[in-house]
Amino acid sequence: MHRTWIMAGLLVLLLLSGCSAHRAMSELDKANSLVFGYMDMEDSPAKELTAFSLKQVLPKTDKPYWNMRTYEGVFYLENMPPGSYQVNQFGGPGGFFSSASFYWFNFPTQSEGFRISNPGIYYLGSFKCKKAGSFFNPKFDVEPIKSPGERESIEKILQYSTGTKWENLLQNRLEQLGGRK
Amino acid sequence: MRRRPLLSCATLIFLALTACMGSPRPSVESIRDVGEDEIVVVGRVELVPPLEKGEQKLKNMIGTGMLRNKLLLLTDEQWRTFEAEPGPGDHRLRIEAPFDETFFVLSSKRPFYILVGELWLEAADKVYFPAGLKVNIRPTDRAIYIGTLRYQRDEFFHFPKFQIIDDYARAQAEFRSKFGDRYLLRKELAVSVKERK
Repeated sequence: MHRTWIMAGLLVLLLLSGCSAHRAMSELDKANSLVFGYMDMEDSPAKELTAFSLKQVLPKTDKPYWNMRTYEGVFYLENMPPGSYQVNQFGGPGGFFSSASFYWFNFPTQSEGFRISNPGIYYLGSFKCKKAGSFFNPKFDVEPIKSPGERESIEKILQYSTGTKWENLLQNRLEQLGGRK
Repeated sequence: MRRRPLLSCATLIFLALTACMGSPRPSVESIRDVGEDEIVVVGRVELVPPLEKGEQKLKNMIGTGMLRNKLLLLTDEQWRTFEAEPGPGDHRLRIEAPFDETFFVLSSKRPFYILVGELWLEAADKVYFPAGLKVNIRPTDRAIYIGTLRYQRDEFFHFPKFQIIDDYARAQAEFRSKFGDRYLLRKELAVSVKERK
């Protein structure tokens, strides 16, 4: 009986560590950058944000898509090399009664872009995904929001930078923003 | 391997869409093709910097000649703006303008508007160029020059600069070499809809 409980506990631990493993940042490599932002999915048909990708525009590459890590609405990815990028796609699973198992939202080809010229921490902003259109022609809008902002986003992901050089960089940024040290 | 069904699907959608687009404004090869109530519209489109090799991924797709290295200028005799992506019906009377080449297309003698430019990068990936231009035509015209539409772009296909360049001397030389000097190519540069009187 005891053994069953121990096995079950180990399984839960294993699952939990599996979930957090893909959120843990890898060590700062070369002169690269950390890019992050926040997407509120509360008004979207998806129940949470579990996918977010960027498209590398420059330098040109055959594999331009970068899948970001996600945690509680924050999308982030460390070790991004210098270049030009555009937001590409994001999504999340539908709820229990939802008509789709996963919802994808695509940004248009001419969506906003950003350039990483110097290594550092790049905050893309906080946004809210809102339903638009009609039942027969569903669409979505993304609008900027003020809260949660950069500080709150860093506070959410700081735990996944532990033991890496990113931790120090994020702590310094938090201090600049008036957050915890 | 997993991409193949997706590609085939995109190709089918592309074929269906292009089939619904209808005919463009015909290219004029001889002045004899121009009826009494018609004119030749002469112009050019430039993209700075130009498309790079591989930026348009239309290789091995049937019927893409109309799109390759070309900007589709969607036109209409009525001014309108688009709330959403233009549909196949909006492509009737389009000008298929090859980048960096002078085009000579047939038009009725009624003034028209260049609503927007459309560039196909892939079967399901288009970018839109600003236009909002009016082309004025006089009943006595046989041929008009509307200018060079020069688009300055960045890597995100945003256009920080859009100009109508007067390159009449070159257009006239090409017009004469193509059609002879019997007909006058009148300069009537396209004007921004905001500037029209």
